[in-house]
Amino acid sequence: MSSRERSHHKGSSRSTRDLFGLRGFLFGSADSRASMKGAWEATLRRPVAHSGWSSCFGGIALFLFLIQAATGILLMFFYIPADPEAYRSTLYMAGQAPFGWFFRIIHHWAGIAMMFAVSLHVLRVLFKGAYQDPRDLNWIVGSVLFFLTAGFVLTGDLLPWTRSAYWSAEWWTSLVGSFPLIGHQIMLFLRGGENVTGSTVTRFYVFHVFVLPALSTLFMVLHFAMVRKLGISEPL
Amino acid sequence: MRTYKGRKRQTRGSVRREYPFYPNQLLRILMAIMGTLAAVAVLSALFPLSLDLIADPFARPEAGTRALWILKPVILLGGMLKRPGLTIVLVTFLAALFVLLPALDRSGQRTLKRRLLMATPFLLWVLFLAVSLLFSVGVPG
Ligand code: HEM
Repeated sequence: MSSRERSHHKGSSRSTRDLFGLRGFLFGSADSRASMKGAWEATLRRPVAHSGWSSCFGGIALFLFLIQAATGILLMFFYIPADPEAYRSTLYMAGQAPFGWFFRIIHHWAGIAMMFAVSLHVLRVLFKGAYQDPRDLNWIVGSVLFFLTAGFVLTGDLLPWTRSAYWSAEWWTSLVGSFPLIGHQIMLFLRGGENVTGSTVTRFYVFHVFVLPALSTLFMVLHFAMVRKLGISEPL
Repeated sequence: MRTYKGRKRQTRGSVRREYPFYPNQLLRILMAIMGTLAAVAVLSALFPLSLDLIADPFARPEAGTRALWILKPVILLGGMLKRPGLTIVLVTFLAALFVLLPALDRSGQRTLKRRLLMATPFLLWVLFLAVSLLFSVGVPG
C-alpha cells in the first residue's frame, strides 16, 4: 500500500470512529456542518477575571433552575390543577407514584435553594459594585429574574391545595388587591374571581409551569449574553 | 487536566489576574454545584415533606396553619404599618428601588463604604428570610 493510500485509509477509519465519539462528533461530523470548533474554543478559552468562589452563585442558580425544570416536568405527569384533585394528586404523588416522593422533595428543597442562590448572587453583585455602568442594564434584567424566582415560590406553594397554602395565597393576593386604583383588577386576574378557589390553582399552575419558566428562560438568555459580552466585573 | 496559573494584565493602573474559563472557572463551578447537590440531598433527607389538611375556602384560618416563609418579611411590615394599602405601596416602592439601583448610584465609585451601604439592607433581608425558613421547617405545608 502506498503512503498516500495508507493515509487515506487512516483518515477513513478516523472518520468512522468520529461518528460514534462525542469529540469526533463535535469537532468532526458536526463541525464540518456548523463549524462549532472555533465557537467552542473561544467560549472555553475565554479569559475570565479571577473573581473567587462568590462568582459561582449565578451558575448555581442556573443549575438549580434546570433541576427544577427536570423534576417539575416529572411531577406534571401526576398533578391535576383543580379543587380537590390538586390535593388528591399530590397525596398520590407523595405516597404511591413511583419515585414521586423523591422528585417532590428535591423540587421543594432545590426551589428554596434557588431562591437563596439568587439572593446570594445579588449580594455579591451589590458588594462588588457590579451593578454600576456598564452592567446597569444587566442588573435590571437580573432583578426581573429575582422577582420571577420569587414568583415560582409564591405560585408553587398553592399547588398542593393545602390549608396553610390557601391562607398564604389568600393573604398575599388580598394585599395585592389593596394597591390603589389597579390592585383589585390585578387580584381578580390572579385569583380568577373574587376568592381563592380551584380557579386560582389552575391559574397559578399556568404561571408556575408555563409563564414564569418561559419568561425566566428569555431573561436568562439576555442575562448570559450580557455577561458574555461584558465579562465578569474586575476584582476590587 | 491542567489548570492554568493565570496571567497578569495591566488594566487602568491596577493589575488584574485572568484565567481561562476552561478548566479553571468551570471546575470551580462544578465543585460548587456538587456542594449544592449535597446540601439539597441532606436537607431532603433531614426534613421530609408532610402534607397539611386539604384547603377549605369556607373554614376560618386556624392555629397551626403556617405562613409561607418568603412572605414573613412582608407580614411583619404589614403588622407594623397596620394598613394593607400602605404596605403594598411601600413594598412596590422598595422593589422599584431595587430594580432602579444603578440609576440611583451613578457615582462610579466602588469604595468599601459605598459597597457596604448598598449590600447591608439586602443582607438583612436575606438573613430574615433564612430565619423565617428555619422556623417554618418541619411544619406541614
Ligand atoms: C435566575 C437567576 C439568575 C441567574 C441564573 C444568574 C446567572 C448569572 C451568571 C452565571 C453570572 C456570571 C457569573 C456570576 O457573576 O455569578 C451572572 C452575573 C451577573 N448577574 Fe446574574 N443571575 C441571576 C439573577 C440575577 C439577579 C437577581 C441580579 C440582580 C438583581 C443579577 C445581576 C447580575 C450582574 C450585574 C452580573 C454581572 C456580575 C459581574 O460582572 O461581576 N443576576 N448572573
